[in-house]
Amino acid sequence: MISIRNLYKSFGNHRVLEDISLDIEKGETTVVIGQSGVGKSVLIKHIMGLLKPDRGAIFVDGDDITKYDNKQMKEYLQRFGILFQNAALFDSMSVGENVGFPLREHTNLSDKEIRARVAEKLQVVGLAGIEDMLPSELSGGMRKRVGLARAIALDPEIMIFDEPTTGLDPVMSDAIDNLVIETQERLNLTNVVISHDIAGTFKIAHKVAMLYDCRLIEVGTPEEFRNSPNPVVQQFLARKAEGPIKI
Amino acid sequence: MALEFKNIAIGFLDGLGRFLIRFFEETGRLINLFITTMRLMVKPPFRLNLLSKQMEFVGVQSTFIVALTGTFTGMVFALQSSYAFKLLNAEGMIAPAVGLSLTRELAPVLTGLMVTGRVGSAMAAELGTMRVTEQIDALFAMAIDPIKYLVVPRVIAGIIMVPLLTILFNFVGNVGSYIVGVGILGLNSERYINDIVYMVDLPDLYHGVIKAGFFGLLITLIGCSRGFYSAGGAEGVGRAATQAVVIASVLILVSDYFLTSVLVRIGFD
Amino acid sequence: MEEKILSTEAKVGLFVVVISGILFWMTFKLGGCLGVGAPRGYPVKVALETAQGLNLETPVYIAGIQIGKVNDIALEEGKARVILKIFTEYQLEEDVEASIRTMGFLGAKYINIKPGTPGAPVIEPGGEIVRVKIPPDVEELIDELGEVVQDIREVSRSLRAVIGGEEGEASLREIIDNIREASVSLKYDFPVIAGNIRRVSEDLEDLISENREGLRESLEQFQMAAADLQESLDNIASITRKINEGEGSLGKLVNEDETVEKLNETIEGVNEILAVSRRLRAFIDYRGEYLIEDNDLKSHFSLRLQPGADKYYQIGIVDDPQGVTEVTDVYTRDDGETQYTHTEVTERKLKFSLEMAKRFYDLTLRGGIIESTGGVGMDYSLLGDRIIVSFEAFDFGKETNPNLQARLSLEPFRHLYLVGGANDFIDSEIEPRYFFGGGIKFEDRDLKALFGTAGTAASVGGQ
Repeated sequence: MISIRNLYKSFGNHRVLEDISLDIEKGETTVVIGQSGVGKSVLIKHIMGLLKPDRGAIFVDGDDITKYDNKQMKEYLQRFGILFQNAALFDSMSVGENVGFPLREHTNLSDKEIRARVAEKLQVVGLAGIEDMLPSELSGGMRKRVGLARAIALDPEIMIFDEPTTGLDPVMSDAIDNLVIETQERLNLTNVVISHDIAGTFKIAHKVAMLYDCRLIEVGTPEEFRNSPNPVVQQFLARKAEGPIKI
Repeated sequence: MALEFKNIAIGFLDGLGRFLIRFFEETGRLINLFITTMRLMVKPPFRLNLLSKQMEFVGVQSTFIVALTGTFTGMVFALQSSYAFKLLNAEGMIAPAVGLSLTRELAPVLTGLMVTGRVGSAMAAELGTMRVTEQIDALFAMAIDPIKYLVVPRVIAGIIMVPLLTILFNFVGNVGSYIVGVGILGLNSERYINDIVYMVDLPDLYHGVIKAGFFGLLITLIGCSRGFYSAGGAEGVGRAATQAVVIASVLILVSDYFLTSVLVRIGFD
Repeated sequence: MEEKILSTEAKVGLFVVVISGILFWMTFKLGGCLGVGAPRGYPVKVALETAQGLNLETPVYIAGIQIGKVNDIALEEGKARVILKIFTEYQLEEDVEASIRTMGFLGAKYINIKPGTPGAPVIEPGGEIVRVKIPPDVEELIDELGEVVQDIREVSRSLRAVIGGEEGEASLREIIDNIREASVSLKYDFPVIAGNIRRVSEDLEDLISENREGLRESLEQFQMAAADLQESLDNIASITRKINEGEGSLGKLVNEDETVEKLNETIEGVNEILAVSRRLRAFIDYRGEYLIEDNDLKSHFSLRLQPGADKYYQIGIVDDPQGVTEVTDVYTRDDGETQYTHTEVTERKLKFSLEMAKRFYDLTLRGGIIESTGGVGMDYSLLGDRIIVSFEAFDFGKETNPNLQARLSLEPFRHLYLVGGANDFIDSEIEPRYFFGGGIKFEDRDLKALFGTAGTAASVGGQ
């Protein structure tokens, strides 16, 4: 569904992405792993069209989105849902307003229809009836789930998860992972997940890609990944400080 | 020794160069934001609910503090000038002196400074928080222009509400001066009002109000800019709030001089 | 969430409405330009030397009550033309007086109208206030005060320089002593000096009265000589004209360069001579003064020879009904006692004057013999000598103060003038004696033009 071809990106003299090529299949969950600050977010922003590559192309259903103008980009963006690391709920809005926000902005639904849709999405993430709470009153896991509810409010085709389990306890992490799988299956989403949670990655991924030193050094199924001969991959999977990865 | 000096010199030049680059960067960013804001201001959709929210925040919620400072400014100014004018037997000049100073200078500048303290810092902090918690990115991702959504209503609210607050300041300031002049100094009530009306002309009032509009733009634009482009987590947000107040206050006082000379030249004298 | 009494929109709306109300009220109050509530009025013009401190809306008061305001200010023929808007219910008489006044010491300016005569015709809309009074304003007063202070400072500074310190005091005392000494000696010496002058003048007078006929003859001769000179000049003119036209052998000579040069030199010489005689101007003057106290006429006849614009000599003959007072003091020694007799004999006698004068711009100082005694005088000319103010002091030998005469002469027509004045005008013991009269004054060439012959002038002088 999304084909990244020979993508290069640098900020000033600082190279971030070099010759990245990746196919993201429709209805699958693709997890990009790698160290913090290695450029995973930059890659995601390219997929979302928020950044333009220096070189290379990104084809979505055959269209090169790097050539899109503002209007096309706006339409394209509406096919996405994104769950930010800290959920990025609007503090000034209640939970209901947060979830209903994309609906109010991009649809002509009445208030009543929006309220119904918000209730339905909160039901999906398992938080029915908290519409009137404020984000500041929620726990980290609840915020993530509200964020997910907001992300899927417009029924996107593609969901992007930016480190969905960071900062959560293991139980809550597993719950979120389950939620990711569940929504993916229920809504037939194409998921792109950024993560460095090894356990979660292998649980949710159909395909894993590892970003190291500006390049994708390994792409494959979780099974192929486990058996990778690449020492960098092995060090990462084993959670070891010693190895070829320079800290 | 010589080497040490050389290092100090290089360090100084390096620091100066960085400062200048940062200064130009900030200036350019501010101008860029201003142009973008102006462009987006006239483009639909007009988010009136956001605008009225900001107008409430900037204007309505500043009413009390502006009324309070205005009243006491007028009162103390009347009292102070009375000492000077009494020496010249010119008590009749107290009312016009206070009235003119208020309409032309004190009302716009003091209102601007009060609003800076209340609103400029709050805007920088709010937008800064939205930046570090990725709320601004979220807006972007939801195909909503964050400048249009966040900056434009704030700037419009500033441009509208600061002049209105200035008019309020004028009014309560003159009421304050009346209280002191008539109530305490025992000047003739009718005469007091007539003196103000006679010496203060409409161009004086507009002079102040136009300046206030500019200050409103300045305060909100700087507050938004500091917040919108803030970085460095919670600490960065705090810094953005402080900087917004400092920069806006200084720019109000400096631009006041140039605005005055321009306004006088084009006839608002 | 707390219960909201007012929605955000309602709060903002209320705020904006209230503040707009204040703005509207202030606009209305300050501008009065909405036309609502502004009193109606009619325009009245007034021309002022300065509109300084006035602006539009400056009030116009009568007796402290505002009856109008300034509506327009424009420059017209170097004056400020101010249009007042007088409220309809007030009327201004034509003889009202407008002035700019200041409220308090530093206050704003306003226009004050002094009411006119009740019942006088009123100024119509568009009319003008003619009478304007300009009281000195604070700035001018301060300026003048500054000048005065400056003057005082300078005077005091120079005074201090003179009398400051012991040295100055000493020299001051010395000066005073000298003056005292001088005045003492003058007291004794002056009669002697005066007597000498008188004697000289008497001698001169005798000379003149003896030679009166001779004097007349010389005058006639002078006139005849002038006539001869004129004739010779005419001849020269006719000769040169003939030469120019090339008549005779001379005319032919002129065409040769050498001759021309020589001739030029000669003509230059002649020109110089002519220039001198042309520069010397002669004026003949007669004036009669009617002495009110004496009920008699005093006649002056004078001839003024003026070699240059800045000086002249004047010879005059005066017929004074008061005549000359002869004073004789006799000391006789008789029986060891000194007797002193004082006799004054006054007889009508012709007096004469002989003065030299030097002119500095409009001021002429003259001195010499005035009316047969020593004297000095000064004339101050105004309007190109049409008005002359004169002061003369003479007859210092008198028992009382010398005669001080003030005279004013007006020349309304060329050659004819009127005089008036007073003798002894500063003497506290004697009443001033006033006189008035008229005179006739000619330059010799005017005379020629009038009478055709030069000799007639002498007959005028004979009176």
